[in-house]
Amino acid sequence: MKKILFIVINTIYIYSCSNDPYASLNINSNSFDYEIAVSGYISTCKDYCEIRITKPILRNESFEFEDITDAIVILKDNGTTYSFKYFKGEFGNGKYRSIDSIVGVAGVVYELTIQYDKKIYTALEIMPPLPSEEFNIPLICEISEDSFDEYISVTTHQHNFGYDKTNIWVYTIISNYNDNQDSLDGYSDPIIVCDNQDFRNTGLTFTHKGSIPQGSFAPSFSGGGTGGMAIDSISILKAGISDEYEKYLSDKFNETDWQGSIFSTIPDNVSTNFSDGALGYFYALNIKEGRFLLKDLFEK
Amino acid sequence: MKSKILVITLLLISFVCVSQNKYTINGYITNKNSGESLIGATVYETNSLKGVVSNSYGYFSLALPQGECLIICSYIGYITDTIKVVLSEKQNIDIQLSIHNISINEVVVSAKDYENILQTNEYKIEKLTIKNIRQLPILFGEADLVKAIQMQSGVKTLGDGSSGMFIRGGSSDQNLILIDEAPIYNPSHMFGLLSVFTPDAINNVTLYKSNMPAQYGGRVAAVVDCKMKEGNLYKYGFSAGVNILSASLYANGPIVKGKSSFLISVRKSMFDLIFKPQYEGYRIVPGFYDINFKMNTKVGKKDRLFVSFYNGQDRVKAFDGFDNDWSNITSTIRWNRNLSTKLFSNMSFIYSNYTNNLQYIEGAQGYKWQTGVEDFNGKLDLSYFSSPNSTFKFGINCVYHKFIPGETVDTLQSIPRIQAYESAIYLLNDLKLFTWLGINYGLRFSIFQNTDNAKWFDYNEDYIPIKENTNSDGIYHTNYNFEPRISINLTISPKYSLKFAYARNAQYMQVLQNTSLSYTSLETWFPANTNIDPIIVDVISGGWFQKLNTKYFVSAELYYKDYKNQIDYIGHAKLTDNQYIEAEVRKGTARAYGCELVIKKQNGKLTGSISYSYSRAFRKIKDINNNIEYSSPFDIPHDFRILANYKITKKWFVSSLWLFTSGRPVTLPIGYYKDESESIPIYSDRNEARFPNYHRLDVSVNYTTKPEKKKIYWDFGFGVYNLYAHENPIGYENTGTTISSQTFLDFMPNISIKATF
Repeated sequence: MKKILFIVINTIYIYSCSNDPYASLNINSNSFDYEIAVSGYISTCKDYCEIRITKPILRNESFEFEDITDAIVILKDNGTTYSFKYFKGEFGNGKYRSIDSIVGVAGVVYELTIQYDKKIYTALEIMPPLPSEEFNIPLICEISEDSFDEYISVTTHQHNFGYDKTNIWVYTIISNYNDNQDSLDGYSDPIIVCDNQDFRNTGLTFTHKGSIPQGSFAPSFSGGGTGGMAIDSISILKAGISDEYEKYLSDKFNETDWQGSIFSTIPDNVSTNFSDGALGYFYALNIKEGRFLLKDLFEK
Repeated sequence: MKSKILVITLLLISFVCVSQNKYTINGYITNKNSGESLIGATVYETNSLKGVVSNSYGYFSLALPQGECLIICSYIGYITDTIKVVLSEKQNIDIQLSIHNISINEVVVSAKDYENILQTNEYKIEKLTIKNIRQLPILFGEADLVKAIQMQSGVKTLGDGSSGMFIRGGSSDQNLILIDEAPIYNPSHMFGLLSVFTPDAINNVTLYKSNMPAQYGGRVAAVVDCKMKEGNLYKYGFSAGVNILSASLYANGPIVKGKSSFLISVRKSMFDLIFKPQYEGYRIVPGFYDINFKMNTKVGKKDRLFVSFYNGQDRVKAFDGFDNDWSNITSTIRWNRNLSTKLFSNMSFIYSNYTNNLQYIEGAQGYKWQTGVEDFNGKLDLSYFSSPNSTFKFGINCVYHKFIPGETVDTLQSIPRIQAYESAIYLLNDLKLFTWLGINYGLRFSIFQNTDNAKWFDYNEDYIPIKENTNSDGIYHTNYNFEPRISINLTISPKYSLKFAYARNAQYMQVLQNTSLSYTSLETWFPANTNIDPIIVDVISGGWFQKLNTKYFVSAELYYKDYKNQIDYIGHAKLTDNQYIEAEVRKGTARAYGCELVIKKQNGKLTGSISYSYSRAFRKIKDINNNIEYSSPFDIPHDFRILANYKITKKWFVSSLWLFTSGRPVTLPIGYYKDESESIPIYSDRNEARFPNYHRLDVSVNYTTKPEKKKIYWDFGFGVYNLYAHENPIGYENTGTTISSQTFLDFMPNISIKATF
């Protein structure tokens, strides 16, 4: 009996030396058959429509999302067809840009078609109406100081946007310079909203629906400084989006920013409006801008 | 029709037993040293071999023929008492048993334990005393009731630190956890490191896995019925202990000697007293406390009154403004009365309140969320000891629940409050038909009524809210169920029995919680209503139980469970701050099955058990996993455990546990894609991936100075959790391009000191 016990205990101990929980994680990747991922949008104020197409990667592959450069991309609206051409971007991120300029129109259905590797993927998206609400987002503006510089920060209050509104929109805040000739140092580089590429890259895009508790956490914006660029005004960009795109944003948020927190939701694939297994979303933004001088905001 | 005939036949047989001319001996069985009731003590007569077991209050009633008889009373760890009685009329005899000297070292247990398992008609139950619990290897130097239950065969956990108990394929909210009859809605402290049950205050716990008798209801998986100590009726006792997690004080003694007693126990975590959360240092600081109080008094010969109170609270604070507290408050007033020598009653009034508050302050904005459930409960339980072979139990129970499913600062996002009555009546009969055949059968009728001020929504087939409904007063929705329960015990020989059981259980409230997370305190108790049906589970079990000799006991069991109205959540379900929370839930079916093999040794210097279980649990839910059946989060097929305790001397004692289980199912990314500036995970099917196999070895060494006559003695404990430091992940975090494992407890030594006087 003692010998048996000795053998059992030693076997257990030897077995336990294989101490790599990650290596033994049992994940079945056989069902991975995704070919392309697409991101891009059309807006009511943008001249050219741009689409990026990349290859999804398997877990544990090197973190490089390879651009797909040999796809055929076409956008159709009411009877008009727009062709796209691939170009290499400044930072190596290739994109397909429409050859002709496009201005989105509310209520029009846009059909994006991508032909790649003998497969055709399509996405349908309708240009939503303009957001109906006024720019009533309450803001907190303050001049802060750190060890290096003085800067201006703008923070939105906790904001209850309401749950049942059908006219869904997202917003972002960007800075503008030299709007006000009495600015701090008169830095001159005004941003024309409809030309900027920042709406999707600011990291400050929020939607009013389905965003609590996430939406309770303040989106804040800061910039400028006495030694550098001064902000004269801020712009709030509001964009009407479709219900489906709102779900995509919400899903994406849950799978990225919010993942791993106590508010995490049940893991699942982010929705898409593409057919045939393509990932990502082709969306439409109906944008309007509200511009506010900081001196006016501070006076409030 | 056949079932009705069967029930009528059984009832007739039962009353035939009643009609014989006999005299009744009744009374309480108590500990001679403390006066506390002994639950489950055996009383039998030597000539007729008729016997009964004392009930939850230590009461027994035994009807015997006229004349001289020899009564033997025994209880595990106590000296058997023999009483000679000449029966010419009914008699009241209170029996006091003395603790066996040998059992002071908490190792030797009478083989009667095995016999009780073989003879009881109730299907497989596990009884643990605080002495049993203290023998197990311990975490953080603290013996813990839930951890002890988690070591039982068929009970799964979700990994290190978890206080969840997943019993035979059921989720943790499907366990009815009672402390002196009051439900505990969240039994965890410190992210699940400990449970709310303070060892000093606990007398014993009974675990019913699946096939619970008809007096229990409201949950479909298991019952954990925990009884607090009563307090010593004759002398005062104190103890103080400290370990790396908490400090505790305990006092008990008589209020009026021999008539009434009290118990008070306080436990407080140390960590939060010393540290505060800050960015440079401990970023998260958890803390907790427990207060247990109990008093009881004898009122005349027939009545006994008990008052129990428990309050426990956890608080987790982080440097960035995160502040989460959850608490349980329970209070029970019980009145025991012998209505006659054969009829025993227990009337209870129970209050229970569970609240969970979360605050998060960041920048100029804040977030608050509150959830909870409050119960007002009245119940009456009656036991009629019609003969040594037949005991009837019947009763009625009514609970008024007040649910706060989730309230936030935004009233539009808050989930409307819900009130409900949960009532039940039951009747069961424990019947020994022959020496070789016993049967415990009963019926429970439960009804759940949504009532009072309420708001709810109707949804279309796409789960879009289409109509808002309100109710200002009265009942607006009712669910009810008949829950038959039966277990049959075939005692083939004194050493060997076969048991079969069937039960239907209904559950009217459940926790909405993201089970994919390793830890979250955001759990919402949500009742059945117009949109969510109660869970109905049919379970059949069978088992073979054999006493090999005075030392060894083996058992082999099979079970199959069939779930109706099992719920699960759609992908990205928002379980907080969502007044349309019912639209995030889908219902379907589930099934669980398994076998459990156990061999135990409970006598001698070396004691312990070896167990293996194979169990599976699956769900098939509409709109989830493309409507294809998938593993439930608790589908852990293989489970192997070796528990060994060795008494070196009267003062030195070592124990060890080796545990191996399959990895649990989880939904993990199989790849990623790029969306603008972010990489987004791609998942395969729900719960298709699995954690690595889980295993660890715990050891502990205990030394006691416990003498026979000295006034103060010390207990020292030293142990190591996960001795060989195996990394058992408790979760995985998506880091954007891959997933990283999160572990919790790798090689955790612990030490504890306790003084008792």
